[in-house]
Amino acid sequence: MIIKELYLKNFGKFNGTYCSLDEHMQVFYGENEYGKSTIYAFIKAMLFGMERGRGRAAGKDEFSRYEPWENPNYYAGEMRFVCGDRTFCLKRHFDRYGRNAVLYCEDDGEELSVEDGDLQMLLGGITLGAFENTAAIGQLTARPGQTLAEELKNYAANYYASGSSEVDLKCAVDTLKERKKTTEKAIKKCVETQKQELEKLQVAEQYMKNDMAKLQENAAQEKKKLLTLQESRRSESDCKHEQGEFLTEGKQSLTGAVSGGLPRAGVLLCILGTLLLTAGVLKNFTGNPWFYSIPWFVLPAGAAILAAGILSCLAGRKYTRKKSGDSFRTSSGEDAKKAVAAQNEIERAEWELQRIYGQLTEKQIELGNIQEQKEELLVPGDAQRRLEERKEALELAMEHLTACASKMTEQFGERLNREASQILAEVTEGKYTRLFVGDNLQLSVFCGGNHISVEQLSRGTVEQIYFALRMAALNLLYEEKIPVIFDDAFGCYDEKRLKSTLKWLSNQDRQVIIFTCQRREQEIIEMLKRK
Amino acid sequence: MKFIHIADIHLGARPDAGEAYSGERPRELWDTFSQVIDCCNQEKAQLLLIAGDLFHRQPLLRELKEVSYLFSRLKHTQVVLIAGNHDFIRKNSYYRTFSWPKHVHMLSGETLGHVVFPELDTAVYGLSYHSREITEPLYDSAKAKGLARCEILLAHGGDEKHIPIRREALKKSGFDYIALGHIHRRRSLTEGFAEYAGSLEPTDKNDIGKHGYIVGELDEDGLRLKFVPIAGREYLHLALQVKETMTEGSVCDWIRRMIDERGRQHMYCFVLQGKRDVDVEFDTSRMNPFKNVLEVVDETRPAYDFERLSEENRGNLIGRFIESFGGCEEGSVEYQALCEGVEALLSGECL
Repeated sequence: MIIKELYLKNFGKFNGTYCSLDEHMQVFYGENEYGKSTIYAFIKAMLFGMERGRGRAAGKDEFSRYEPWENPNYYAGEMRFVCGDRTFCLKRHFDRYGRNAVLYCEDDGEELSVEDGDLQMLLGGITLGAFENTAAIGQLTARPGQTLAEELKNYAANYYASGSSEVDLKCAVDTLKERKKTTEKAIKKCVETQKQELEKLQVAEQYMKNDMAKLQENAAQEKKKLLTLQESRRSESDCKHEQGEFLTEGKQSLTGAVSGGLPRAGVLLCILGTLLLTAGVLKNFTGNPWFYSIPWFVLPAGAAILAAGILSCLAGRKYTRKKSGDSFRTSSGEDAKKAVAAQNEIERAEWELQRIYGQLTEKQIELGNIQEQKEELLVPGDAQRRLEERKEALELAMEHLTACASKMTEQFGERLNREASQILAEVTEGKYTRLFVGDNLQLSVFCGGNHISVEQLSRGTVEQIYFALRMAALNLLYEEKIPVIFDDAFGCYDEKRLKSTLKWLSNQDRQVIIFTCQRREQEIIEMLKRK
Repeated sequence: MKFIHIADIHLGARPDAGEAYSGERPRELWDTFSQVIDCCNQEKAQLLLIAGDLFHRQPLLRELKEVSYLFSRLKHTQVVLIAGNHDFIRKNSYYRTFSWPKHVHMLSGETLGHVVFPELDTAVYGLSYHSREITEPLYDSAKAKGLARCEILLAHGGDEKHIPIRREALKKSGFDYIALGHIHRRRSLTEGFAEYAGSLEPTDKNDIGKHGYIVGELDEDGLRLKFVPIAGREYLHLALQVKETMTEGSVCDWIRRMIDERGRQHMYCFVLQGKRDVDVEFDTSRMNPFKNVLEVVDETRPAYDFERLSEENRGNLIGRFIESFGGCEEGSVEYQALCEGVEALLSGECL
């Protein structure tokens, strides 16, 4: 691509200014405030358009900087250029309201569309950023807090690893790392909340368990109490029973032989009487000779003894009943009350035990429900899952990025290195024949058998390495031969190196536009032309 | 014969209802259930069918007493219920010992049992869960025995782990109606024959749609069903197709408008989709104007044209990075990684 002509209709300080360019090497010489930077900005604006900055940035952007002081609504320019044997005319309006771009081929009148990317296609796909990073060369400037060598190293590192200085590998990796960190923090927060939730449940569970233990203890006590009550009632009733027997016996022993033997003697008398009676009856009524020996009085005697036996039996029982009845009757009123009270107490204890068991079951179920909740909590929530996925994505992105970068360094870096080394050798007239890129993209040059790291080199040499890298990148990355623009780029070059640099440039199949405030570039070029 | 069919009441659950409503939500589940009881009285329904998961977990005695009290308010209605997978009849479950009022019938067997209402000429069949999961298709072999003119199956489940149900098998079962529970969104398994009433109230953020009960009338003319929404709140899932012109503020406004249009009483989940401006990022934690938003999921991706980017950056790191994800599907982790990576590569803002 060769820029043939510029027409600054209304741009910055220029107003209706034509400017035709040499298709090979063009030097714009001028003192300060000549408008070199304006022309440079104009070329960029024509090729890539001029986007308005947003917000506060708008106050300082190029749009505002070159907005004409008079007639700001008429802010426009034209450019004619040759691309692949065809000449094109590009017209742009930059002003706020009527912004547009027209592109057509002058040879056949074909209209092209800037909006649809036709211009970009003609430019070989180079973007504004890439253009600024390769084809447009100013003096190498260091960012605040960085040395020039560091700046160069950054630049080179990005080229080696990314194939574009627009892409900042380290920056991208840092961004991803930072995002991963933020995501991890968010995950941690999720886990933390979950943990708190879990802890709450655990506390509840513990309370429940404590309550249950207490209830169980209560139940055990109550049970014991109940058992004692039941025991005491049983033993009391046993005791009463025994007491009764004891009394009977006591009475027997008390009344002794007098009346104690009464029932027993009565029984004996009854048996004896019955036997005698039977014998008498048998003698009198059967007439069996075997019974004749029994005397006659056996029958009445038997009857009398039986009667006496029955009587004595009855008398004895009556006595016993009377006796024991007396001993009970003295305490029976109180005892009955006591027995009822004991029965009530037992019932109350039973009821209490039932109540405690009921509570225990309720707690048991509540505990089960809490444990269920705990289990459910162990499954991570949607939000956490999404975060985990994002973390995974970020890790994957980093993985791919590093893999691509190292492949890049391997393939593109190698070629870039070779190309840049060659340019550097020519520019320094064989002093530095090789550029080296070591581990961690450390940059050094090879000189007389020694590796010299870029930090040790003079500013001029650093700028020349920068130049070599840019030119190499431009050659390797873009097929279209974009014009290169130097904006006061050779300030630190000595005579010799400037000459060899310009010589190298003049041998390139590429339009070169040089803005300078010194005469020496012009002189050298004329000298080269004469040769 | 008129009946009301409800399911999945989940009493005792504490659904996430956003900051604004989570506190009162457990109470609301009870209130709505109580309303159904009133509806039974108003509608003079003869049967209240509860198709499982009356409780969210094992019912406590006091909860059963509460429910029993509510049932006691029924004037014309007999109740039939079964235990679902949430309130399954565990070893120590109160369901085993609780004595229900006479008009409440729990089909608590592990296998299909039934209760016959001669006065209604109706038989209701059903079984209860005795474990959290049942993988056998127990309902596939269920058959109406002809015990009454109207025969209804009360069933709970329908997914892999909770009694898988084959629609075809049910069709041949001979029942007049199948009252289903377990699936929280109301739907028909077989229209007008096997219906999921859906949960009475939505209890999970995915329980979208209307919630309520089914009123059915079964007589000589056949079966007529009507769904009656009763739930006080709804979960609403709304997606916003973000455009490149939208910012955080405009998304917030959209959310506010959507909530105002549909009602602040509801609970919302928003998904932001589509392509956002490359420079815009959304802080979703700030998009909750009425405290009833459960989540805002940001699925937007920066509006990169990967094809164009790849073309423009052919040979350099960006190009190769994009190529390395060659043809990954949108929505996949790979795609997300691609977006994150390109964003980081193009942001140019060094930390």
